[in-house]
Amino acid sequence: MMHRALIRIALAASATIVFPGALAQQECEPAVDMIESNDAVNRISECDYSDEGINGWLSGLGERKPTDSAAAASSSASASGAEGGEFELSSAPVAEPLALLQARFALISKAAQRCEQGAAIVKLERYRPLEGGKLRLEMRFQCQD
Amino acid sequence: MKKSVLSTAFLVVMAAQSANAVTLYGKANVALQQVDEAGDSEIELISNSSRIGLMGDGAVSDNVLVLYRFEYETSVDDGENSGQTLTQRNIYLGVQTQYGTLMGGVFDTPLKTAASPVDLFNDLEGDIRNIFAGEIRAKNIVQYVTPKSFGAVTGKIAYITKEVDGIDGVSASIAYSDGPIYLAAAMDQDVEDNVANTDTYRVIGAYTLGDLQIGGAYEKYDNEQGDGDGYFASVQWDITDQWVFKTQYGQSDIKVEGRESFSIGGDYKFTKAIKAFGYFTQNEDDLVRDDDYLGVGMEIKF
Repeated sequence: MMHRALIRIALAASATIVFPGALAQQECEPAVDMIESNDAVNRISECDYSDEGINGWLSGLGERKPTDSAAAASSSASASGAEGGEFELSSAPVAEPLALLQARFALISKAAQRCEQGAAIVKLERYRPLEGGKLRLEMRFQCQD
Repeated sequence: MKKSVLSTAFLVVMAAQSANAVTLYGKANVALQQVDEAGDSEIELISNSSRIGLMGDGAVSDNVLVLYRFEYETSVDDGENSGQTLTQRNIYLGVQTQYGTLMGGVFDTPLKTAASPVDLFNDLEGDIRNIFAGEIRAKNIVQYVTPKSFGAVTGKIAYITKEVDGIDGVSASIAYSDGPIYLAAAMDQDVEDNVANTDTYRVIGAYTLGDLQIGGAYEKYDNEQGDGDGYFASVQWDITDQWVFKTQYGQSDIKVEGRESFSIGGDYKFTKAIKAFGYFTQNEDDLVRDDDYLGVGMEIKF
């Protein structure tokens, strides 16, 4: 019976261990995984895969991709906080100065698209330190008609 | 015929790329496994829910998004499933505002999606559906999802109209996800087809500590014929950036008396999107099954 009693005990013991707090950063996993997550509908607009994988290849047909770091800097955009027409966008983690600039450009472009009837006003810009010296750029915008 | 289908698909993809915030996604997951089912042995090549889909959103105003998802399964192993090249998986159209999302279509119920973080052998022979009821992709389902402004809490409630027998179903869940902690409770009522007066209740928990994730679930099920309950536990250890070890065990009397499912396996990640994997699964119960599966496979996500 495959030592089932032992397995049950091991799994049950593991499940009862209380660990100190740790951070499991919720980032944009591959699109096929993200869309399977429990809160997927709240994340569809959060994660931008336009520069990744087959989407990057399709969107880049006939164009030269700048660098790998540019792809890494592709932003994720959150539609949260729609109060007063404001919305917040955040980048994927970036580790290089050029990637940070490109991530900023990507966020501003995304905001401008969302405010296509007018202009996007930057209400807030902050840089969140992450593990490994990386940064996450978070920007809040408001559409001006 | 095939050419026109391919042309149409290509145009759809190109149109999608030219529109705003459209993502083409999918995965191919194929395994070669040694099967020993009730004494009969054979080798199988299997496609484990390989799929292709489109998802995206479009803003109709500053505060209103239209969301959509069209996802189809493709059988990488033998090219067809019940005579179909592509079969429907999750398909929906929804409207999202600061007050939440309202969506309709055919998609996984709140009870099913609530357990997604803890089923480490999902879509393989060790899938949680072997021991738990309620792993349902419902047709004609309308669902409300709480907005992102609720923070760590996501609530869902869905109404499923059967359109034939007059017995409509309800599914609901509430989940708390904050950093390493995931907790959820969910219920189904009369969601299953052709079974009257069914109730399913499920609680799920998962905790991540660095490279280690533990998870568990408990389910209680009852209908006119009887009731049953079961539990499930899983452990995943990211040994290195490439190597992942995982195991899970479940036992229940919900589907069959004495059903047990045990799986152990590992992944080797070549990249974020490509991995090789191996597994051993044993599914058995007191009445029907005494099955072993030993397999290796590859997966690519795009």
